[in-house]
Amino acid sequence: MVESGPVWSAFLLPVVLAFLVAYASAVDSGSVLAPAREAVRQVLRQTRATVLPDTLLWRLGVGMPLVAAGLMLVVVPLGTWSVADNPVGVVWFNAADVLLWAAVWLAGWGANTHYGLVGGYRFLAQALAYELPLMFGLAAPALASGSLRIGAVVAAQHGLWFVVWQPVALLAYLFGVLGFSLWGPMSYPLGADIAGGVAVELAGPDRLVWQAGRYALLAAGAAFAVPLFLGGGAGPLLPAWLWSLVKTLAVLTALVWLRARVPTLRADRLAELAWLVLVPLTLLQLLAVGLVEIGVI
Amino acid sequence: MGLTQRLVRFAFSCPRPLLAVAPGGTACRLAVERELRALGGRQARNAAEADTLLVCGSAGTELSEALDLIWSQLPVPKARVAVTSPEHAHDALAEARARLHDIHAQRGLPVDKPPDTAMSMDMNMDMSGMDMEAMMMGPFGGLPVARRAADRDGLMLDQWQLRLGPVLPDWPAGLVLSVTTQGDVIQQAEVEVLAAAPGVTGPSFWHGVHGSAAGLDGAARLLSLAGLGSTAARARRLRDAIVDGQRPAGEMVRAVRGSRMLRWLLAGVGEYSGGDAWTRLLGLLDGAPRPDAGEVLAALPEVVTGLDLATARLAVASLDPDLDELLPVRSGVAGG
Amino acid sequence: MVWEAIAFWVLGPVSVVSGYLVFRVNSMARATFLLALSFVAVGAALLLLRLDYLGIVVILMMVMEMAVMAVFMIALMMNPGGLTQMSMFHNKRVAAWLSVVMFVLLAAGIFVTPWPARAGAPPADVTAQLGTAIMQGKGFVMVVTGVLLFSTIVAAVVLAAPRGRYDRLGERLDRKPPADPMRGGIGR
Repeated sequence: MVESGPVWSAFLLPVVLAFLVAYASAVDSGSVLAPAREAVRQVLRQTRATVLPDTLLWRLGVGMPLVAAGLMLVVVPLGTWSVADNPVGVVWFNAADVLLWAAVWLAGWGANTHYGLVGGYRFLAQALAYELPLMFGLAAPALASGSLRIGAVVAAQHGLWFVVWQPVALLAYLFGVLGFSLWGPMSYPLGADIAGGVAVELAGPDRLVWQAGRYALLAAGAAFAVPLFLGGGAGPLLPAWLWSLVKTLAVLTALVWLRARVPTLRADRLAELAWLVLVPLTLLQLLAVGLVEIGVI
Repeated sequence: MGLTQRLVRFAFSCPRPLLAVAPGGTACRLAVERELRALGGRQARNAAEADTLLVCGSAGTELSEALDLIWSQLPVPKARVAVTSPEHAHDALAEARARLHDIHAQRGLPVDKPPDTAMSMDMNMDMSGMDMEAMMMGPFGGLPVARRAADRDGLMLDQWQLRLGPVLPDWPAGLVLSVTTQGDVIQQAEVEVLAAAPGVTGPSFWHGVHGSAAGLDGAARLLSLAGLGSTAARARRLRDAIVDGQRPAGEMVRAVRGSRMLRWLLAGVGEYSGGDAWTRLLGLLDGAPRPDAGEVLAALPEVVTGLDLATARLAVASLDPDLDELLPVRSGVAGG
Repeated sequence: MVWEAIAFWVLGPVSVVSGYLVFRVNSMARATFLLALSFVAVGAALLLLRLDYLGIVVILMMVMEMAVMAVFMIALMMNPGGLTQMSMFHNKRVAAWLSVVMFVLLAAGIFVTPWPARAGAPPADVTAQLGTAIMQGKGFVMVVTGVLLFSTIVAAVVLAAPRGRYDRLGERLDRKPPADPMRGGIGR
């Protein structure tokens, strides 16, 4: 059902990504002009210079989130077409989100400032908490459809969307999306208590790329939830690609809305909760899916 | 009007200020926050994000030095304004905006460059005006290298010297906490109180205002640090309503008390004289009587030692010492 | 096939050269991420063999591991702040010679081995075939081994920790909450 698109569809990807980033930014600030205003503002500003930064690693860290989001979107189908319907799409997405582990730490380290470094290490502490639930959450739909290809996962939801009988997996997945986008409750590495953390010395075009990267990761995460849990492009009346887009925007709006409404989860409290509660819950979810697959339930 | 001018006007339609609150500047800060809310803008968290350095109140010598350093680190285009009395808040923000739109003036400003690393150590300061390196020369461009010391598990780890304040978002005005940290765990802390500018006297602004307003102000800072930006904004609106003379309602306490996640996050943070950050937050929202600022400052190093930066910030925000209480009171002021 | 050959001849040298550069750069962070680059190049080379799952999983695991390793490299490598070259104190020359000799031997072995010629085409689902070939009939053993490995890691950390259950929970293991320098999430 889901097929790989022609080569030129790769050029459509940045357009879609830019649209989703602008949408997320507009919802976040509550004004339609906000994305354009912020973009022009940062382009017109000067970048910060610090003492003895590791410029290569710093710029690499700042730019990688946007690249990772692009890589994630490569396998996400819009309706029935995706840029490349990889046979291991689910793992591809997972590999792209692991790039963030390197990116955020490098962005924190590169600037050679206290708060940046603290932010980078905070991210690793937080990532250790969300990554395993995220991985198990991704494994559940793959297990249920018997394949790692996104097209197969979408096809397996023909009768019943996975969100109905794998809610724990969806929640663990969304928790992971918030985690790797450093958004809302998972914005501990960017906290106001350390004056912006990893982003403390980002100004001008650096900041634009970084902020765009965060919105892009949220958007890519929301977009990936659609074929994985919400049936892809399935739905009455509207064409498949429009349904994909509508569902993506719905999930994205919900994620963006969380920002200032949920307290920031600090890694020292989160770690125990993630490993002793979330991981067993996601494992139980996998067990349930497995039992359904072999026909016991 | 050229394209650049149009773009500048579009992009900088609302300044994003970094607020530097001087001792005695509480009234000005409240006025600025109100103005900013009316304009739909928000505060910056650090110098890189900000385009305006906005000083609330009159800055003394120490604070002025810190402000000069921060000013040099703001990226161009930038504006610097001072609000010395609450009525000027609106004009100050308008002036900042006008300066940001003035391309010729902005082009004339010196561009921020990294300090020359071969220079001597006194000139060799820090990135954001908020921290200071250890007093040791090292081989890396004259920058000091961290000392090593045993941490709480006995491992020999690097030690940093960090200065929390005086310009930090959601931080008590006039407080500087010099801490020695290993990683982000505070091993030692020392409290410094910034000297006020000559002519700035007490009593504190909150003296003549209904008790819960001060509490709401502190609670807003704590909630903002805990990540609940929208609840903090509500607390600030309520605070402004009380300062304007309307009677408070208790709904904020009920709303926050019901938040189990916030309770889970704040329980056991910064234990001091039988309470922790959570009980103190509820006390702040209730308008309960606050402990004396001097006592709190004396106890602060002990409360904060052993905590990591995040919990230390939450502890300080929940204790919320009002350093304006320590200002000298002008003799002859009634009820001082 | 041309682009595959080009890709291979780019990835191979990148992998070797970045591995070598790990020991020559002046910063532990750069050393760690050069090592990550080396592993990522190997993972990408696996993709050329149509081993999609293995290639991507190698890249995934290596990036994650290098991020965690960066923490330890900088903390424990005996050079200030991770800002000078890696200081190898033990048997530098022997180690260098040994690694060069091993590389030459393995490379020679690869060239000398009579690899069989390809018969037929790869199946549609290479991952499934690979999985079956490795694990058919041994799935249960694999799962148990995985759990055992994980328990070993956890046990090693528990044994190495300076504070044990009795320090945290008191003589009768009944102190609530446990006496930790920082309170944990669920009071265990």
